Amino acid sequence: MVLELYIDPLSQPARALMLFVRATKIECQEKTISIMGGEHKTPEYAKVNPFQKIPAIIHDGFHLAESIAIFRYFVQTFPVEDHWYPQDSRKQARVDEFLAWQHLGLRMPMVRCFLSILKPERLGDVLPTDENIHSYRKDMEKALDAVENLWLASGQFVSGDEITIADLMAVGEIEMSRLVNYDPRIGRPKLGAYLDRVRLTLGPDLYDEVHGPLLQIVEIFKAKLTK
Amino acid sequence: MVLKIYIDPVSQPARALMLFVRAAKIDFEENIISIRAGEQKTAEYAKINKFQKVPAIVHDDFQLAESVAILRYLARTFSVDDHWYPKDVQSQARVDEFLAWQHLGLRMPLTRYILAVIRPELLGMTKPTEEELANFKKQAEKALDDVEKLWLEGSKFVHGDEISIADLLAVGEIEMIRLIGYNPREGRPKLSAFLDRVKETVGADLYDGVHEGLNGAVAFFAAQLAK
Repeated sequence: MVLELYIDPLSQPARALMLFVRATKIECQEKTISIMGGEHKTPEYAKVNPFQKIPAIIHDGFHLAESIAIFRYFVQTFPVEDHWYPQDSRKQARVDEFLAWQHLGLRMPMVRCFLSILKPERLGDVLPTDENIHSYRKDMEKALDAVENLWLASGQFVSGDEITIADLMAVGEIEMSRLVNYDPRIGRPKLGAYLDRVRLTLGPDLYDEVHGPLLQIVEIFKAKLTK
Repeated sequence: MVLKIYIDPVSQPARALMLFVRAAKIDFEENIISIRAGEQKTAEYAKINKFQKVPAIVHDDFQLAESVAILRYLARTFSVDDHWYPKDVQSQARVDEFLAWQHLGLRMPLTRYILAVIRPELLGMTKPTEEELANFKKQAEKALDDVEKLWLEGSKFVHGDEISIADLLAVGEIEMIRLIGYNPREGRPKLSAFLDRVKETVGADLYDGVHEGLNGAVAFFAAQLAK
């Protein structure tokens, strides 16, 4: 039974899956598809994932796209500890709640802010104005405020007091703010403590190893941003 | 064990929930929260759903937001026919794939186009330029084309040959674009057949009943746009 995981460490949801398979020791072959190199747009990759996005998996001929779908599939297919995605219905619903919210509540504003500054042509045929860029940045800040004030209001992690797949998605997006030279921890004490907690729970080596390529890119972009 | 659902028939994900509880014959108490009147922003509603969005449920004392989380929770809590959310791992993964994709792949581009036409202030814009409108339209059309060409390729419903909760979310979004006088069926024969098929499968009376509010709004806006 061969599991191929198609990732790029620059992709937030891909990082979430990378953290998961390494933390839970799910055996897989990680295949890097370079987004910056446009590899996800090739006809070969379309055979892996017709949506031409990262991440994706092929498990013994079964193709699956969408990180959330992949996470759930892994939990049902491989033996992983219950806390990652609890069997208890209400606890699971809390994880689902975050996983659903994060697409438009966190990912979208983070990505849009990042693209508007670093790759505005990716936003469509009309380039964002300075007003747009300012408002996208505000949206990013609001999203991070929602994590601080709503999701981290009562628990150690976003869905309760144990780490779940929701947290892997959360940190994937939040760490991305470094790319635009923004420190999400400033003014957000719970968020700061939370990021440290997730890193510690996963293990600093694992966390740092998965975020390594992102940090390298941060340096490259810092140069671009200071121009 | 009482299930209370909080909906507004004008909300796409709320309609998906309305269709589901009726089609799956789940006992429920329906509470209408008027988005137009801003009821979701009240302090009372914040006690029901801290995200102040619609839909939401309260099942006994358990509060849950986010339509995808709610649909999953209901499918496993009540005895509903398996096809709504199949237990088979790979079939379920396909439904999950759509449920994940639709947030950014369908809901976002369609909603942004609709708002750009009728409520641009909700997008932080005063009046979009011709160029901006064309850009929004292009992205909405790509989303509908993805449904036509990728999701409905070789299957009667978005994941396979039986209706699931994914289809209810799909129709929720697709029917909404009629609000701005755009006909999603034009040039999309599979999509058109799909809309008819969902209506037939859940029952025409049920479908029309749930869409009554939207159909009324479509007529209202058609008159507005004709001015």
